[in-house]
Amino acid sequence: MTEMALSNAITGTLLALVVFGITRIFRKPLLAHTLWTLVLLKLLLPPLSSTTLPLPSFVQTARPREEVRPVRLPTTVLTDSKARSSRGPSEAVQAAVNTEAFADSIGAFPLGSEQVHQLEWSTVLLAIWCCGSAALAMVTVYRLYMFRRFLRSTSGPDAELHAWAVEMANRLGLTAAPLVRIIDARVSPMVWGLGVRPCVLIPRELLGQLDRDETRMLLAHEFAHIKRGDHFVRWLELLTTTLYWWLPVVWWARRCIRNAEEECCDGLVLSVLPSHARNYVSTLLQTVDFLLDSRTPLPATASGLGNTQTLRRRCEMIMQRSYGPLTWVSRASQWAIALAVLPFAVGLPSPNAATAQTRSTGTATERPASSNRGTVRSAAAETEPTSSSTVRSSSTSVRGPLNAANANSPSADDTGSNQPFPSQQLDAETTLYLGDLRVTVKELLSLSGFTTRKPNTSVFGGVSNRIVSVDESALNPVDAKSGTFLYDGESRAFSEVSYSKPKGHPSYFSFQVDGKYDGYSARRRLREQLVEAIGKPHRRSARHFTGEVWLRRVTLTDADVVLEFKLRDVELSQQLKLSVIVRYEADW
Amino acid sequence: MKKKIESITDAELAVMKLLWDSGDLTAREIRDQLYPGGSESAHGTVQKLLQRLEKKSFVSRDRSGFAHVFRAKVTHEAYAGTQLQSLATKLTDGSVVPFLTHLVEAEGISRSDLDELRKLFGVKAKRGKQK
Repeated sequence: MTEMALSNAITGTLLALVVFGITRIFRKPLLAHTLWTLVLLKLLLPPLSSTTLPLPSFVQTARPREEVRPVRLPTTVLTDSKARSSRGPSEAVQAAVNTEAFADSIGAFPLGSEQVHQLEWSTVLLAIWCCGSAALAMVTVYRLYMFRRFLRSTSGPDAELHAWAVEMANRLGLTAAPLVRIIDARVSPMVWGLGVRPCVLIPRELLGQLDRDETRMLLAHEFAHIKRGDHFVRWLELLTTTLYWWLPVVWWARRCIRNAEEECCDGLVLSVLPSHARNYVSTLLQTVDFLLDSRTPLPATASGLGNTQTLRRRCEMIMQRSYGPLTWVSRASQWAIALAVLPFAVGLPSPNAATAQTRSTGTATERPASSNRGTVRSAAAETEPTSSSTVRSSSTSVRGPLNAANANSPSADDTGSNQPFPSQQLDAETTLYLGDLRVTVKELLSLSGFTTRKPNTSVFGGVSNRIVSVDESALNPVDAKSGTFLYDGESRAFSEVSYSKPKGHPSYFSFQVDGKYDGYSARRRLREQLVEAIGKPHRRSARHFTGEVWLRRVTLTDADVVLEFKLRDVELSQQLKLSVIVRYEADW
Repeated sequence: MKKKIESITDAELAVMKLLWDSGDLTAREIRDQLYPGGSESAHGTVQKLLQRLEKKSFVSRDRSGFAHVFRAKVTHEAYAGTQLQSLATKLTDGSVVPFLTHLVEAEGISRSDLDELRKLFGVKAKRGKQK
């Protein structure tokens, strides 16, 4: 056991050094997170291959003990010891006899006094190790218990916060919204994941200092941690720290995991809510402000180091939006590197990280050929009928997580510049050049749900009845918003029906039954029966049009390009305004 | 929340509880309630407690009458708040035993760093309640 632990420790250290090198070369948080987690995992699992690593000598000399012949004490000694009941001079005899017997028993391997010394040394170290681990384990159990008790003194969220929590959970693709608790203390917002249900703790005073968008970003970040399964990594950390508290690699790896974790989380949040980068940074800095209020002010010389640098780097990465959903190429290369490191470790790659990233890219249509810097993921479309003609299309405005590609916009300033653009008629095959991205009009519009029937014509037909994404506030394609329905033969009242389907995320159908808010985590049967009663919310009839496509305006902002098209339906004399937002995200 | 409230012992806490319940009390009244039927040594003990509490700014002493009257300076809520705060800080500190995931670590960041970062990213500072 000891040998395994020591060999693990050595391999773990070597692995850590390798991982450090790799993370210096490839600066990708997801890779760093996976690799450092592998390091910790390695410490806990037996090695795949029994590499003959040089073990310290005192471990090797421990082995002869097992091959010791059974000790047979001379009978005279036995009878003497049996007769004894009190201490005294006979004790000295006993001691002398014992040493002799000991020397006899290891007669096969004549150990010199030096090796005996080392044996004792290893036992001492082993004892220290066990005591340390035991003490840590006890402290851990105690603190966990105290924390759970402390949790009871927290209060629940108000209705608004709860609604935001449900919204954010849905946005991130969580099946159940985690618990949100408010604490009356000055601590950082945090995620507690060792209980039955993950729980997010937010200090009450901080909530008062954040506005609506910032609060939602805060929730998004914490939920992103849960979505990524970071709270399970805490278990791994706890276990390895308890066992390997004496190994500096554990502390180093822990720190690296935390840093990488935060950056991965930032990436996940930004891929779901990309237009809120500044709000996000504002939330982080306001939280730091809030925490600083309770501390004694630091001397001026102690600035610019450690946590400040980490925070600055985080904010920079957020503002530059240098995160992006990974293309399959870069993800594959990351896994290739991780797997190459595996022969040292028996470890399961953390599936949470990979799937989280997959989820956040949504249904991506990748066109790596069209650019070497980014890919067109999708374009979200806003369709609004103009009031000058009969309105037939839906009144739901579509907005949602925008992923996308483009604009090399060196000429754009942050406030967005409207470039004067002569209105041009386009046909389906017109190619638009946006920076080094090339895309045809047909492709662009098909991503927005407009399909073309006949190629090479300026005729577009068929409005897809697929909802690209739906803004929750402009909802309700369902006819019945409230009423009664039969559930298990009983008539129940339902109300406040709402339905949403953000792009790339599971649909979210919420309603109240008997006045209780049964959101996405509602019992499936209840949901199914309700849907049966009032009809499937998202079915709508298809709409076709033939007409002309005009590009009216191009707007460049610091991160995206907005193309405004006007679609003129010649058959129905209707006009549709279509805005396509194309955003460029750099590959990291 | 700039004043740091110190911690008090159990005996001192008992005295504070009496003051929170009854308002103004003299030392003798306190002694009667804490050590009913007690001797003069109990009186000395109570005096000592009150002295320590006064030093920690928990009580104020009114010397206008013959018998000094004591009143609590720190409210019950404030004290409970600090207890909660210190408990929370102790429990959530994850330096040795990490079981929480914090949003951000503010250790070692100074106010000037924060102001610099705010300027750098174009984020306005906020003071006080926003809602």
